[in-house]
Formats: sequence, structure tokens, C-alpha cells
Amino acid sequence: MNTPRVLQVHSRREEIPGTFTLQLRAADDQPLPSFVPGQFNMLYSFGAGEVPISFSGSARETDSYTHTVRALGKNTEALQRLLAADDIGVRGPFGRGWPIPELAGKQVLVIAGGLGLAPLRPLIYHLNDNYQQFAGIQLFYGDRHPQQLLYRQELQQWSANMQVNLSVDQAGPDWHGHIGVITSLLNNAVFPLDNTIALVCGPEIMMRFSIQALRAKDLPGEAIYLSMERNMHCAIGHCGHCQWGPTFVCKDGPVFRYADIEKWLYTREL
Amino acid sequence: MITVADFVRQHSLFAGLEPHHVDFIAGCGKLRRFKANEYLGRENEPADYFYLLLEGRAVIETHQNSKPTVPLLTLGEQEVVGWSWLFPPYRWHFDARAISALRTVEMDGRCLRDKCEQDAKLGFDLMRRLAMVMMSRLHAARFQLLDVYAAVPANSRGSLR
Repeated sequence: MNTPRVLQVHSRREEIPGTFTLQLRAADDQPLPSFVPGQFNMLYSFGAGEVPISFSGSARETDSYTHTVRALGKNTEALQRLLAADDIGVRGPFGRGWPIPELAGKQVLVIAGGLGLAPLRPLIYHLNDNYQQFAGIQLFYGDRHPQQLLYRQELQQWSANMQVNLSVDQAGPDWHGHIGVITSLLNNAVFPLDNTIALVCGPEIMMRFSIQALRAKDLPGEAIYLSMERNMHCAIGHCGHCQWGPTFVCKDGPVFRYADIEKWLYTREL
Repeated sequence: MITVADFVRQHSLFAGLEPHHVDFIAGCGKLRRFKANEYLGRENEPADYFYLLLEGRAVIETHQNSKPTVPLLTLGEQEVVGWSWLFPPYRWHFDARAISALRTVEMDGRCLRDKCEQDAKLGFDLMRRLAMVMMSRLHAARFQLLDVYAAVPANSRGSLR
């Protein structure tokens, strides 16, 4: 797990300008290790470097890994240049994922902001495939502009089995959905306080404000999970780069229960 | 038969209000429907009314010269449209337009201001409730200003998304 394994880019898809999805497959006959939604791989672009990227495909796909990446620096820009059949180094899967066993029978709130929908997508696939096991599923997805919404076709498909609520901060007159911040959708959400679990992923400020909106409705901190981002290098809790309070985000997270890390979320410059 | 007072009582703005205050306030309201694209209020026109949304959606928007209108915020059931009736010069700051068939309670701002002058306790309670709405909108506007979804170059090599 700690030595990169060479996989091949099977397909590459441009989601929105600057954000793309790579599907990776093994170049040999060896099976790929399975993953839990919410976990991540370290992707190594030869000659550039390594970067942690969450899984964004279905955990049921056993012969491939899917990752959605936004090109924002040297390493991710190198990943952006990869084409089908190119080699890529992969270490993983790493980290603690979403608490899937706890979701059975619950009203599940999935709250995504921007590219935060990508780490939640494997979980959404699971919820969609098994929707009868849950009391209800509500997806809240906010982004900057309608043109920046990810996986638009799938959002439409998912709405058959879950309530899909979209919100954008800015829009032109041709957008007929909600305009406003994602917290305004949460303020009006209806869910039973004693049987709901919320799963949040997005920019840290968006997660804090979303959690404040949920807490204002008296959802317990024990029922809220979030996926954190920090500077990760080794991915196995040795190098200490991603230390966050008493935890290592790469090993103890990236998914945390809010009640366990509330103190650290409000500690400045940590 | 459901009365205006029933709709007022059930609206989130007035949740928990004392029954005699509900009846007092409801005296300033009447049920009103809007068709899609009909305006509830237009920028710089007198703001004599505000609206409790019961069903449907409305958009707050503005315009800039010959460019298309700019939608700023959409509002749905249990939300409130309009607070310009509270403060001089009592004119709408933005356009408010129905984007679907809309069912509302139209509240007469002048009538309500008069009632608040007569009953300071009610006036304080109502002001506090409207201040909550304004605080929530101000918080949302600040959140929007942060532009949290903007693509910012990573300053480290570690980023999950």
C-alpha cells in the first residue's frame, strides 16, 4: 500500500473547465484493493509529484478507481495533462470514510459545496442503490454558478430516489433553481431530530456555516459528519504534515464526527 | 373555513406569537395570489406592503442598463418578501417577482406600523422577528461575498478536492 502501484488511465472526462475525472485501471491482472466511500488515494504523476484525491466513483466498481480532480497546482495540473493509456502511480486507499453502517434506517442529509460533491459521490451511489434501506435521503448541493455544477446528468437521475436541492450563489435569468447560499436551504429543511444523520463536504467555511445551520435546528453534534482537508504527504500518519489537534487527517480522517472535533474546527490557524 | 389569522399563525415569521397579537396583526392582512412573472414590488415604487409566502417561489432581482436582470435571491414558502415598508422613504430597493404561481398573505405596512405604535410590546416583538430575517439575509450575503467555491490555487501539495 505504501509503494505506488502503476495503473493506467482508462478514460478522462472534462466535467467543467479545469475539473476532470480520471478512471484508472490496473495494467496487470491483479485486483485493485476495495475502498470505502470517503477514503482517498495518493495519485502520483511521474516527474511532478503526489497528491491526495478522494474517490469519486462507485465502490461497487472493483476493476477501476475514479477520481475527480480540479487543476489548481503543479501536481494536479500534471494529472490534467494525462491521456488515456498513460501511466499513473497510485497508493491507497487511505483514511476513514463515511459511516455507512450507521445510516441504515436513518434520514440522511448529504450536504455538498463545490467540488465537495466528488468525495460524496461514492456515498450517494450507495444511497441511491439501496434507497429503500433509509428513512429518506436529501441531497443539498451548493455551488458558485449553474455552469459549475458537477455531474449534472446524474443529479437528475438521483432525484428519482432522493430529494435533490440545488443552490447557486449567482445565476443569470435563465436559471430557474434556487439562488442563495446553501444554508438558506438548510434553514428550511425538514427532518426528524432523533433519526437523522448529516454528512457534509465542501470548503471549510461552507462546512462550518452548514453545521451552524444544522445545530441551530438542534441536530445533535453526534449526528453530523464532515470531511476535512489538510496538507497530506505520507497518508499513513507518520510525517505529521496533516496533524490537526490530536488527530492526523490522513489516518484518523478525513471523515470525522463533528462532536469529536468541534473544538479543533473553531481553533484559529490550526 | 381557514382565515387570514390562521395563515398568519402558521407562518414561520409569527410562530409562537400570542393569539391576541395574531388576530391584531391579521387585521392588516389579506390573501393574495400572483401569477408567474407578476411583480410583488418594483424598485423605487412605494413599499406599502410586504408578503408572507404560503406557496410558490419568488425572486429578488435588480437590473443594470440594457443587460439582463440580475437575480439575487430566491424565496419560497414560509419566507418573507419585503422590509422597505418599515423604514422611510418606504420604497422598494429591489424588484420582487413571482417565478411560479404564488399564494401569499399581503400585509399592509402602514396598518402594521400604526398597530406597532399603539402596542409597543407587539412592536418590539415584531421588530425582533423581522431583525432575525434581516440577520439571516445579511449572514447569507456575507457568505456569498466570501465566494467560497472560487478556484483558489492550492498552497500545498495536499488537497482532497
